[in-house]
Amino acid sequence: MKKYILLFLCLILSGCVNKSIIDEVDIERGVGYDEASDNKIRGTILLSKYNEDGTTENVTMTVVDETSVNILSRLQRQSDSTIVYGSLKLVIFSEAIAKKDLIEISDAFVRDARLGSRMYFVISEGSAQKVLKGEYGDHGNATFISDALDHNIKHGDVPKTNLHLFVYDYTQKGRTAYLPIIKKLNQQRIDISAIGLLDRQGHLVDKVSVKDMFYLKLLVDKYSGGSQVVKLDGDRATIRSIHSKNKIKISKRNPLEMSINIKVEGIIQEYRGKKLTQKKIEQFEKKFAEEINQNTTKLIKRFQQLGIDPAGLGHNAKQQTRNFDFKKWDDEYKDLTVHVKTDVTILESGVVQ
Amino acid sequence: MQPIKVQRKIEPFIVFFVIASTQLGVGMLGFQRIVAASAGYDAWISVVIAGIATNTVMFLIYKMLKEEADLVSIHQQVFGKWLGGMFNLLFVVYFGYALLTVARSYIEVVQVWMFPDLNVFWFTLFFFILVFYVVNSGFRVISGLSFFSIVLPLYLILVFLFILPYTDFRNFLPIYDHSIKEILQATKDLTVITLGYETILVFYPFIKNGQKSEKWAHFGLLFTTFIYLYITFLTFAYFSEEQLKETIWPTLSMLKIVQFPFIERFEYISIVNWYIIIIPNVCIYLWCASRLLKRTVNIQQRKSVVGLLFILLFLIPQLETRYQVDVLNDYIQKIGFAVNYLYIPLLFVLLLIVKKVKNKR
Repeated sequence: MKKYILLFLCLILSGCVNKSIIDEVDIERGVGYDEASDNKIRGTILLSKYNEDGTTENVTMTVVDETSVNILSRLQRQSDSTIVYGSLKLVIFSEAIAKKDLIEISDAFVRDARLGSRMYFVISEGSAQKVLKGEYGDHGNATFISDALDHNIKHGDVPKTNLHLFVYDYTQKGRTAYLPIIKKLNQQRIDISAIGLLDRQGHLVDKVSVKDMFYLKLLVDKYSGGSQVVKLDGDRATIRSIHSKNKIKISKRNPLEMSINIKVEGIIQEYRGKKLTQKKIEQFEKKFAEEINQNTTKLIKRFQQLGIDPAGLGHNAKQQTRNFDFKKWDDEYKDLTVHVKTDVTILESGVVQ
Repeated sequence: MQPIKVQRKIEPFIVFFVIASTQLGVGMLGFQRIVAASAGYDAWISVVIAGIATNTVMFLIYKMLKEEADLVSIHQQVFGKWLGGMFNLLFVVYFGYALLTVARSYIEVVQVWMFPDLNVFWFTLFFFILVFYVVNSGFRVISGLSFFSIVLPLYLILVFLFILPYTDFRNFLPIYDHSIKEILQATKDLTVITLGYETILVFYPFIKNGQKSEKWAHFGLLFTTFIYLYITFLTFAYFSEEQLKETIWPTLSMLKIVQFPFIERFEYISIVNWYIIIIPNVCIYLWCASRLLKRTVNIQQRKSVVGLLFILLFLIPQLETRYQVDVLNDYIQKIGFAVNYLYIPLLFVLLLIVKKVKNKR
């Protein structure tokens, strides 16, 4: 008897919850926000339609409304099937939005339990709608862009970022957030063209170009594989699989001074010049360290002038001070002396001498 | 009290699982926000202090249980038949209220995270049918379920390690940046997750060689303290202080970042898994309440279980908003603190005095 009751319950209970069959829903993979006239927002969503032959079709829908939440409900009305957004991968803000409403819009993404923390927030040069309307790769635009970011974070110069880290940086006292900036090159290609730096209110205030991205990543993150070219009196070496770590410390108090110790390890992969001797390698190490010192110091000066702190100097200072006073820190930060010390070790130089 | 048959008793080491499973519950999903509000990143110290506090209370409880069989006979010794009976009934209300809080809080999690349009009444009804089925089978079955509620979800400990790439353990520095007062306040706020172990005052007669189980009870408390400490460390390294103050269920939000090739989002699995943790929690409270009713006013346990479940089934759908659930948790926090850290030590002292006076006669 008990068995039958159990079976009966299984049958009736499984019908209790709303079902969503994957072929009958539209899966939202990406969303973009642009500025529209009258202080309104133009929202574009990117749906992936999975065809029978294995290809993915990119479908975009656009509406203009006052808030980002209204946008989805309006799109819902225009679609023939329910739009689900549990596997949203990518949120693109146009630069104009990033200078203004980014934080307000992002609230919806943090609040929603259905969304993962791994999705990417990016800023687009130009319109976000245009970026979403491309045809990149075979697996859909959102997958393409997020994969591009994935591998550039792992092996390239893009510092680690996702929704969680963005909110973490933005809300942590003594730290400001950064987001990658992408640019549409043509209908088939995009480029990660810069890193956008946000101030404490969450407004885009500065961009670090490709040239300086390497140094920015040394400051805000650690490297687990990257490459950089070092030139020394006409000789040229490409240093690859760079691993780096940084340590930020208070080196002196009253007046406050801070030091950043960067430790870099790498392998010489390509070398153009005369014989690569141990002495030469040491010279390269020194030159590379000098370059890093110079460029990172320059970047930090720039941050100080703008009053932003992506490297988290304030957060680090707080960790090393009891009863840390952030008000005092804000005054001190602009004229803070920061010493950068870099230690470069070249581990190997390939299979030939 | 009729003597309890040996075949209805549990082995002393099972007490470890029963105690641990009463403590681990829905509070584990969101305690970090509450403690961080007062002690910030130093709140892990509060977790340690709370662990010491529960072990102390447990020590007192065992000292009392050495003298008397269970809560009812302690009350009778100290307050006499009528007043003691009153206090028993207060405990019934307390356990019922704790049950209400656990069940409603868990259902809220299911509502917010999984099925926003869940019908609370029907969910509760089927939940309670299961609970009735378990409680009806007696304490041994409940304790067996406690065993599974610890062992089966234990793998979640490893899943939490996947958040390590996104953590910064230097967040804890400088250690002890808050005043003692703030840390003790946070310890007080932690009461809600340490509650449940006082049920041993009721089910103690069901343990074979009761006093032998003392070390297992303490191990159980240490185990939960360890788990809470582990979760606290990871949470604080993962969230910024501001973020933590806004996140209602940090334990679940943390799992949002865990991703496997075959499962994109892991928190759903863990919420469903939490069901196994919640069931014995609810069952023990219900069993204890009905047991106290039986010992005090001599109602058959099965009848009181059904009665209590009906009352709760009526109450749970009445609580609808986040605010109401929050208030519910706030009160259990205050009541639980009073019961565990004020009333039980007081009872201990009173029992000591009563015994001394009676011995002298």
